Amino acid sequence: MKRMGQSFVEYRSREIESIERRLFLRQSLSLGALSLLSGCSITDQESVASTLAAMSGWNDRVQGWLFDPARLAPEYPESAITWPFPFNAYYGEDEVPAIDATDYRLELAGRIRDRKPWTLPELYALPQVSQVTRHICVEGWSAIGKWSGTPFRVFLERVGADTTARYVGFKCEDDYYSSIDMATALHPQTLLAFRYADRILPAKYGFPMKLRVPTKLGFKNPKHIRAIFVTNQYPGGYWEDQGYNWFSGS
Amino acid sequence: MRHKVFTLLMAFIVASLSLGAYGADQSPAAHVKKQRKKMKMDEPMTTPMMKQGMIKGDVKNSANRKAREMQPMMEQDEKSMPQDKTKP
Repeated sequence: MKRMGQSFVEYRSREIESIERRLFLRQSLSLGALSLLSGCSITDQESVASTLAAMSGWNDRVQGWLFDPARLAPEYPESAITWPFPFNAYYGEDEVPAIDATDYRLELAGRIRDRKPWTLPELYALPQVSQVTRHICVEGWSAIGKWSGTPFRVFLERVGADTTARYVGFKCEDDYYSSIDMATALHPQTLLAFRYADRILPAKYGFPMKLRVPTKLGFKNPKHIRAIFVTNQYPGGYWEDQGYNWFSGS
Repeated sequence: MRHKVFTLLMAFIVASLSLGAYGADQSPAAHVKKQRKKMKMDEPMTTPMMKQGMIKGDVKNSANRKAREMQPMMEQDEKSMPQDKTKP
């Protein structure tokens, strides 16, 4: 009986020790987390912004790593096209830039061997393909449209772009700017689009050209493009520099 | 009389077809002629993507700042990629 009582006490004390150890471990972890949080005051805007930017950068790297350059975005029949296709920009439809097609020149810069500017007739003479794909906006809506133009890969190869470089950047007539990764630029569905619904791209949809990237969110599809550059330096973008995720794609 | 009606009808058909063809695929220059409102830079943006207090002019200012930042790197990139002079 005594032995039994003794062994019970020994058993209980081992259990208590084990519980205490777990409690200690848990409390230490909580304390560690608290000490980390204390170093990151949420009232300190700069430290919050830099922490979030670091996380977004990490997110970009993971998305880039997961991106499959051979995986295609879904394509739809023409009967699925959304009419009217929504207008979307940071300004009103009546403020869309008016671009003179006769004077227009697409400028090229950076890691491109043939940087001569391109006129619209020269661009229209490039091989053309069409796609009916879904435009997905970060604001929470989506719409299906038909875009036609030249595969961006064809254009990049034609101008002798360094396709081993990391980024392709875009400057637009409405001052908007953005950039994409080279893997997406070379994706078979990434188009330099000159037409919408079989008509010359209307001003409100980005005349004279927009980049159509069905594997990325809408804000990664710059309109009214006036310059394209290839670089190894991270070029960011307007919304990306405001904290929106840079890769923003699948 | 019948001849006059026929001529009038033909003229109407030709005019309709010409206008239709014009509207179907206007030359790119046609997009320029439309008078558009100049963007008011001091007005708030019209997108839900904006943060509070953002105005349209912020995009231009950011673009100019970014272009200044990128310029030296662009020059460096271009030096390492000499232009192809053999093409016309």
